Amino acid sequence: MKVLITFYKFLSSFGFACIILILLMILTFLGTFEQVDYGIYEVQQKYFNSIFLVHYLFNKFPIPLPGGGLLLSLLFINLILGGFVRIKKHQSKVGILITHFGIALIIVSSYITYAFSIDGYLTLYENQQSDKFLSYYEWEVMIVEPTSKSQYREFIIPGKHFKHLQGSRNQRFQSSSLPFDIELKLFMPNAQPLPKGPVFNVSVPVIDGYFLNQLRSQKEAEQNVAGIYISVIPKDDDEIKEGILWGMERFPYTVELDGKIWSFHLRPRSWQLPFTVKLDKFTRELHPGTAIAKVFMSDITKIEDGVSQEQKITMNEPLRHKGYTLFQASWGPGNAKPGDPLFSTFAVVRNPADKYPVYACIIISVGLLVHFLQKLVKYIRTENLKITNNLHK
Amino acid sequence: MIHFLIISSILSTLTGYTKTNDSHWYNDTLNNAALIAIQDSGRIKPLDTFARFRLLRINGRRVHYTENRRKMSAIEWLLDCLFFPEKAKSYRVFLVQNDAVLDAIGISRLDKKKRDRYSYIELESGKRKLFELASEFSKIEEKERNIIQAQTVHLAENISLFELLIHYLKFAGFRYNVLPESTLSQVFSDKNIVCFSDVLHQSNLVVEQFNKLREKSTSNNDPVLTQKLEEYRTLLNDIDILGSQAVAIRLFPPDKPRDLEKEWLTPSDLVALKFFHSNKLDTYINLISTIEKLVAHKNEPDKFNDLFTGFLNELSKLSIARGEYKKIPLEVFFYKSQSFYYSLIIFVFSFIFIALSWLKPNVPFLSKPGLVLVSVATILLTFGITLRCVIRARPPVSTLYESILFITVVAVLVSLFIEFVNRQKAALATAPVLGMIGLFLANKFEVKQGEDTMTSLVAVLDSNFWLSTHVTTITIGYAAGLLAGAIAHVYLILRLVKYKNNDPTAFRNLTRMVYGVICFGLFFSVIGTILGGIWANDSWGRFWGWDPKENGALLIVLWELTILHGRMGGYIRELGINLAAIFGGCIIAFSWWGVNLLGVGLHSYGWTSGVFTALSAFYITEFLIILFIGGWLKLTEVFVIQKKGHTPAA
Repeated sequence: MKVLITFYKFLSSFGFACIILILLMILTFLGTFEQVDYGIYEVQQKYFNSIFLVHYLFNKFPIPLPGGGLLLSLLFINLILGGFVRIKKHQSKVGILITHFGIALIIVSSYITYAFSIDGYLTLYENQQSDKFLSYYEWEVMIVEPTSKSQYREFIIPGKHFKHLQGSRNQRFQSSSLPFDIELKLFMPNAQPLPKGPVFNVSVPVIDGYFLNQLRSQKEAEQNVAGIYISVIPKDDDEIKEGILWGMERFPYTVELDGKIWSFHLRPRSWQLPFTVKLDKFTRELHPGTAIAKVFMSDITKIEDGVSQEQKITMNEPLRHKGYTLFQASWGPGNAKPGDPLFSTFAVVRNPADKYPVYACIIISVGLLVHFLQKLVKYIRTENLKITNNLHK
Repeated sequence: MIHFLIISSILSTLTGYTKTNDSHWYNDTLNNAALIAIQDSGRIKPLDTFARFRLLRINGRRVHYTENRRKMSAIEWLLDCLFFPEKAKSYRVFLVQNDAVLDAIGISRLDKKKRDRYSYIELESGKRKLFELASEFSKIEEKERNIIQAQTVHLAENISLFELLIHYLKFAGFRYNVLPESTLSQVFSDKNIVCFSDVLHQSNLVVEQFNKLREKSTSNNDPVLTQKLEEYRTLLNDIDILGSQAVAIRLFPPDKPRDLEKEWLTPSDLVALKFFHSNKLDTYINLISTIEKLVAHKNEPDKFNDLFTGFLNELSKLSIARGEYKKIPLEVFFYKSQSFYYSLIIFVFSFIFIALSWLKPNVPFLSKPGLVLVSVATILLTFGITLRCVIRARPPVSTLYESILFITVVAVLVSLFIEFVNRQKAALATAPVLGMIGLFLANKFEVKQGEDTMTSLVAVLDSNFWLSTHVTTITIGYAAGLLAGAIAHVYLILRLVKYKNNDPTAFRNLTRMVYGVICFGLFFSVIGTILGGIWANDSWGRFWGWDPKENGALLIVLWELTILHGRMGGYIRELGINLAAIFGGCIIAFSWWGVNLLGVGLHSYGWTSGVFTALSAFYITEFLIILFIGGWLKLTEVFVIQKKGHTPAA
């Protein structure tokens, strides 16, 4: 029991809070500098979405550090135990309690965002429409079975089942609806298929004269193009077919089985929107006589249950509907001449904790205001008293 | 219009109507020229502002000193460039920071210093080599260029900008002799000499005749016909060349409402509109004709001044009709009033008084003027910032330059508030120091950038709501953190000089001030950071993206929270809080300027170059202070404890 009490005291102490805050500072500082070399996505995964990590000081000396996920969890525990349970329940602490509640809400909201939010993009040319958006970073393997001349059926293997298949690891996927099993191996987050020349050897399989060349991840991770090796293993002990799937392939890898041509794709993960978005017009306005963008604006039509509604999406004014938010993210083609059709890209986000920071901001503002005003009034009174005393002397 | 008259009269009062002996211009002419509205860098501004920043960019200062040390204003320099280009070429306005640039282009330096100013004439012989080198160095990414490469490119750009100015009014001196037997004689109603405006007036006829002659010449090799065609070709070619040189200043407001046509016109645009789109441009051609008269009478100041006043009135009518003139006089007034410059000077004097009052605390006539002068300087600074807000119709901070001004004024105001509450003179001493440093930095930054500081904002920043909430609160947080650091320096210095024999009450009070300011800063930093996240959520779809600028703000919050919790837990006391406040200043400098040097992240609108040296010097100084002064004081504390056998005051 004594050990438990000591442990509780430690977890709820100011000292523990200071340690976590300083470690968070170190992590944030290192993570900021690492972005110069590795880009924001990779750094975010390594430093802030992790439990533990090893940072290489000057790219040489390994330093083990707790990750952002662990530190935020510990901060939350410290906040609950120290900031709510152990704190003196006194009138002078009301502001602090309110502030702690707001900070707790921020941490909860960051966890909900991390665990439950989805984000991707939707690119539309003018007059084009869609109700699907794609992931920036996640990939999926799609197997397409032609069911008739104009119809087909899709089978999806989500990326979370194969993104760890690096090095010698492989995984077999089975389905009673398929006449074959699938084996995936050697997933490469950024890769390029190359022809195998006669004067060099490669450590990965060569298929039809091609192999997957692993590339270093791009600093802007959304520019990565993934690749993976696939084996199609017929259930009737027929010959195993091996192939390469690549995210930018122009034509899918195909296998003929039972008189059907099955196709296999590696594509960005996609999600369905509960409504359709049609891009009517994209407008890009520059400040006169400069190349400084003044306005990026998409005139869109939101189509839902047969009802069309015209809306505008512009910087700082996204479209929010049914839990999804569409932001003006980019546009193109960059070299378009006047009159050329333009496309607009929307960042699409579904985040259940979307509005939590607003509430937290209000709560924290109130809490800090109450606390510091109490302190300020006390300080002014003390100083006035001192001045009055000095005058009397 | 009343507004315009009032400001004009103030300007006239400020500068007078007289003419300086060796100047071409009446002050009245210069005042009128300053008030001409033009479009530049995406916004409507006075010609005065354009002149100031163009000269600042080329010359490294806002005025030019002539050979006989007369101070020439930017607008006068610009008028000379436009109307007396040959004279302007002899002005030593090209600042060369390092003479190695001149060695590289083969210019002799003779009696010049390493960093000196040169005239266009002096540089002209090396121009070709300069442009060759600049073209080569431009292929290197800006951040990768060494100092000489960067300065070579900069000098070449400045020469190009200067050439654009001196060639701008070349069209107005154009005269074409029309022979009586020429078909052009019919087009120009038997005029012997034709001006640029005449050709624009008759552009339709000229083009029509030219096309007819061209058609005829395809089926006929008559040498007379060929000669006539050549006359037209020569004329059109001259107009094309002169027009293409007149691009430096967008002088003419479109005659359509602002919503329909945003871009103002240069003489070059007028040529294109007249010849390629056959637009009716009588108003503009009349203005061009007036410019021709101005050039013709440039050596007759009285005549020129009369013509110029009429020209300004006609031109202003166009911008007034579009509702784009109303802030022009105010902006001219803002720059002529030099409120930041005078504020800086007064801060310096106030500091002298306050420093003397510290040395002689019992002399009341030393401390009172100090307080009065700080207040006057602060009012001037606030006045300048307010004028900028009115001119831009923006909250106080939307650029890095404005953040320096705003942080300065907030830090000074908070200091004055603390002084008002505790009257210990510590905060009063900090106020002018911060005012001086802030305004000095703002001036340095403006000179270094050499560009208009009221720039157009990129689309994502174009939100007055977020600028006035997130940006303002976060900069108040910066200001408070820096102020806490500044007061902490006062604490260390006083401890070092054993002020009042190390009276613990005085030092405890100073620490309370530092701590109070940190709390004040934490409030704004936390709210500002969260508001930034909410803005990011609205703009980019995520509350937090671990972007360097966001991380910088988070570091400030985390450090200030650490100080608060460290103090409450008893881990840091008086000296610790002060040293932590100084370290907090370093974190704020990192968030404010340092992250911009990394060159990554979404806050690309805040990138700056060239502040690395200044920032490094700041960090080295602060770390040395923390290490040596902090260390020395800590050792002294330990020594005192051992000697007296009790703990120091918390």
